[in-house]
Amino acid sequence: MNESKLVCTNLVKAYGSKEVLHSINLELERGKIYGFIGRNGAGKTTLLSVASGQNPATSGNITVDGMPVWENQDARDLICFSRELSPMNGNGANTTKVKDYLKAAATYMPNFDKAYADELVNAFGLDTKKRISKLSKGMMSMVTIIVALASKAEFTFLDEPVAGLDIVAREKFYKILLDEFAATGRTFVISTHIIEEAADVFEEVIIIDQGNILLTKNTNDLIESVVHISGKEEEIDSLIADRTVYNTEKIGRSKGATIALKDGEEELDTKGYDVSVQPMNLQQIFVAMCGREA
Amino acid sequence: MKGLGRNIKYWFMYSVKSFLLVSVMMVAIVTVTSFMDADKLDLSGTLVRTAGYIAFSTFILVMVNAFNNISVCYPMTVSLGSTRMPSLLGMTIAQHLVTLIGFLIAGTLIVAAAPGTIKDFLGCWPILLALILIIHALGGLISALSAKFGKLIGMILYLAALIAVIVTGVYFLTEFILTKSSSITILFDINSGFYALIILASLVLDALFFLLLYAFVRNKNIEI
Repeated sequence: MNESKLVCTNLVKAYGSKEVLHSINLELERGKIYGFIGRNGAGKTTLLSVASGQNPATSGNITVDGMPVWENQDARDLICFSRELSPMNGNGANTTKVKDYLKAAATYMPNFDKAYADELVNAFGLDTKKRISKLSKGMMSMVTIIVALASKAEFTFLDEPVAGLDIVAREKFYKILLDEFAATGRTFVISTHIIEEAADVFEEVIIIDQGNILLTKNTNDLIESVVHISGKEEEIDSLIADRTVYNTEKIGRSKGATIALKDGEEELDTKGYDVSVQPMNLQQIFVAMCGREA
Repeated sequence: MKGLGRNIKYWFMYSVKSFLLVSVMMVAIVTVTSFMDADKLDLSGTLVRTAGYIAFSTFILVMVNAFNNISVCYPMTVSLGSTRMPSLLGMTIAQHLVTLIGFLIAGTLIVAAAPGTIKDFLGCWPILLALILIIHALGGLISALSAKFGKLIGMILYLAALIAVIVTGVYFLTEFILTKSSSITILFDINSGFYALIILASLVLDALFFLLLYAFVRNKNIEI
């Protein structure tokens, strides 16, 4: 059971002539909560929809427990990608009632826990008689959260689950998520733009930018291995010469840089330099990597 | 085929619900119009009229669902974990069953109104079966073209099919119920070999458009 893995190999996805995922290689291990972060249009939803077998890849392979995911019911039963709902569907307003949507989920998901779903409905105070088109953005997020958690799927993907939720509901979601994780050891992949708030929840972080995975790393290791330095331009240039630099910015004669420490290096050796070294949080690291200010 | 059972369950419940909604609406219409024609219409007339409306709404439902299912329900089933072929198969099987139920209810009402017609109905079952298959072939074509070319084309095709059904379906149904004209009764005189050919041709047509639909959605991205 613990060897369970979802693996994407050389995964490419194109819409017509536009390639949106470029040869993605990614391995998701069982029993971890992954934070999946990227800017708008970076390819997060596309990657989740292809990795879950909902949409086809243009090329490459996706396997779970060694089984191909595409059009394989056994593999798909292990994965739940609870998509962001929309008030509109292919035919106009989305008139599906919440209770009908949950009923459909219970029909299709082999391990769907109806009692747990009811418990979550009560916890979020959701009115299941309402039509999806009549729900607020936050309520739609609650429906996707309930489906994802109650699916009990080994690999559960949530796309922007906290979008539209107020701070109380968001706190409630993180608590319920951690409780469920502690009880089951399922794998969760959570895409979000509210990074700092969720950073403590993520064991691993995956950063995607313009269709490429920039890194997959333990969150604490990442935070400990990236620093921001600032000082005179010549000194900064000298310090960063042989390092991985995520971003630089110039302010007058001063310069700042976001850099990665080398393997085994616990802190930056700045002896002989008059520079300031600051630790960074996950959000700052993400902005440095994907902000493209340099 | 793994996943077919859960698809038949979902699609059958959904199709029955749609059918009941439309049928209740039709029965309500008949009830109101029967009150208005109370001096001209007796019980058997009301039953025949109800049967006509239910048969007609069964036709319409196939067309509406052909357009609706592929753009709304099918993507939802895939997003909830179904693979593509079982979802389409479940949809098709459930719809065929519900159409059959609709025609059986309509037939039962007509027989209740005029018990003498039971022989005619027993005699025309191959035609009824072929008719159901042809209606679904038409529905399959609408689904396939909607999936391939978008909902505008689907809507245009749906309206065209609706007009065709109104013109031909109502004409033949009226002919059969009211006059039993030779253009209908001649169908009961043809030999069983020809019946088999008609059913086979209808089945092939239905299967062909189902496969066309599958070909169009097999590698298509879903959006919900």
